[in-house]
Amino acid sequence: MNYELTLGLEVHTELSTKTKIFCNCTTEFGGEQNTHVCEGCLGMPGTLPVLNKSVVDYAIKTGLATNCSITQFNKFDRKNYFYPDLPKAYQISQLYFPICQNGFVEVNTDDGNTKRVRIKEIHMEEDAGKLIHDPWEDCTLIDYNRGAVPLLEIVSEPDLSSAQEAIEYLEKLRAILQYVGVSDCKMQEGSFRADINLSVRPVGQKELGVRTEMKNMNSFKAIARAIESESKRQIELIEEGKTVLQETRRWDDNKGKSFAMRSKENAQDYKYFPDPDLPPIEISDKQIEDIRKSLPELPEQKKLRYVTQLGLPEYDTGIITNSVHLVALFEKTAELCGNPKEAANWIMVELMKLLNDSATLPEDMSFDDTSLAKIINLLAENKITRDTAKKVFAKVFEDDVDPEQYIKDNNLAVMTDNTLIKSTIEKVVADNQKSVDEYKGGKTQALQYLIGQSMRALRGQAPAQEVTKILKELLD
Amino acid sequence: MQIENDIIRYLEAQSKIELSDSQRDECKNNLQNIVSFIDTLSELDTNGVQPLIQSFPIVNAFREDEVTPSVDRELLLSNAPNKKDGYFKVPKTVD
Repeated sequence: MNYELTLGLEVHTELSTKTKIFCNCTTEFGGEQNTHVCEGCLGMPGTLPVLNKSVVDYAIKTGLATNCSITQFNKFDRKNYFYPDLPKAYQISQLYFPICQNGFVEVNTDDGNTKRVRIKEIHMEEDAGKLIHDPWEDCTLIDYNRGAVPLLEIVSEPDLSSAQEAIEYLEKLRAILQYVGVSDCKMQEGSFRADINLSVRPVGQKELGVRTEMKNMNSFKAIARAIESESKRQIELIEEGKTVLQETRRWDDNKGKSFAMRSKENAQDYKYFPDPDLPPIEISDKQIEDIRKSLPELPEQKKLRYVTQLGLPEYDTGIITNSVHLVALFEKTAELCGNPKEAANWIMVELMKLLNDSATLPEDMSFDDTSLAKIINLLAENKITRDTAKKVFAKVFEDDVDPEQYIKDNNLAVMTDNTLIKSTIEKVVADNQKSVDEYKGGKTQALQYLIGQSMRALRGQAPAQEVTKILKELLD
Repeated sequence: MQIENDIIRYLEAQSKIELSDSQRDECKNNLQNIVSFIDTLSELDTNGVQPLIQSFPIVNAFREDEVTPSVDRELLLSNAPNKKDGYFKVPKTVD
């Protein structure tokens, strides 16, 4: 029997505001345990939360960039649960009046079309502290630095139907969040996390299957693996005549499988109610319009402009526009070298290779953003060969060297002294009499060998055309 | 609405407390009184009336996004019954 997948995602993204959602503690990542903490974010008696104004602005930005309508009357609610990652024993969240509703994000589907993934809602809430298991004493240690860092939870409708679509959606969403500047979206630092709601059903069946919720994936690859594994597990259960239980499961990426955390029967009763400590928020039409006007060019608009105005291939623009860091490098390079196609080409070929080989993410690139343009310009002016350009770029990528200085220090510039080139080639010809004879006897491959030897003697710093020309003159 | 024993037991579990039989009976009676009172209120027709979720006429109480120093860790941890290496320490919790 054939089955189809139904997927919905809940994305949590930490906002890049300077301070926490309800107090003035810093949101900076890292730092000694419990040093970004005050009485307020520890929920001590007598403290009161006061909302960070930027959190509302960031939420509106995100909503507008994802085609949502903005809820103009907002309220926070308490989600009660007893777990030490929240010292108050409740999380301040939004249940009844989420700030953004009914939006969508467009993604590319497996068959090359685009698909609208509807966004049910986006709400504001606070992050929880970090629990660390102490194996020496078999107890749990708590660091509340992350506690009360502002979060947006972005809830999609179950509109996705494959792991690939889910990744497309997440990449698009991440790009949007980075473009509008509300989050750095670093999965490895937990500022961009996704939970998966997944069910399977036989093709043709009208009602949806029983869904499970999966947590704890910390990379796109892990999300894709978790989706594959969970759909397989559910299909196997159905094939064996067993039932899928509605439950929350925890993904273990090392073991490549998930484990049940809690089932529907012992699901939490969160006893939501409006938080009496926080007055409602009213958002005016003017505030929404002002923010709408301030939105930057979004990935889809940028992609369209790159294709229609710069004449870049659609595939390349898709890759580049999905990363705000690649966009920044591309735009700087294109501006400085005046050749967008060449800039895109270097990013798609050489940079991608360097990123892949060193397992580096675009956000962790640390070289000067003018260096690639310098290399492209030197190449265009024939001051270096293409081989040298690639080598210099690899060095720039690795050690952030200045290309011009590096070329000078290592004597990598193209030889401009034609007499020197000629004398070097003459020496190669004299040293390789056998190949010269072979060439003269009609064996054309011998010429390639002689070119290779000449390039080697010239340390790759003479233009290949020039070398071939001189060689032929000497031989013919 | 009738308060039965299973509701009391559910609330005990939620509150992480355990009542004796006599306490449970007493609790049941008290809760029944409260719930019956609410039931009386429910007789009122509130169609078209906005729910009241805030008793003070205040909206938009905001704070600027400016960092101020956090509180000294030793001071914050001084009330904690258990601590270790600058962490709060609690019994092992498994998700």
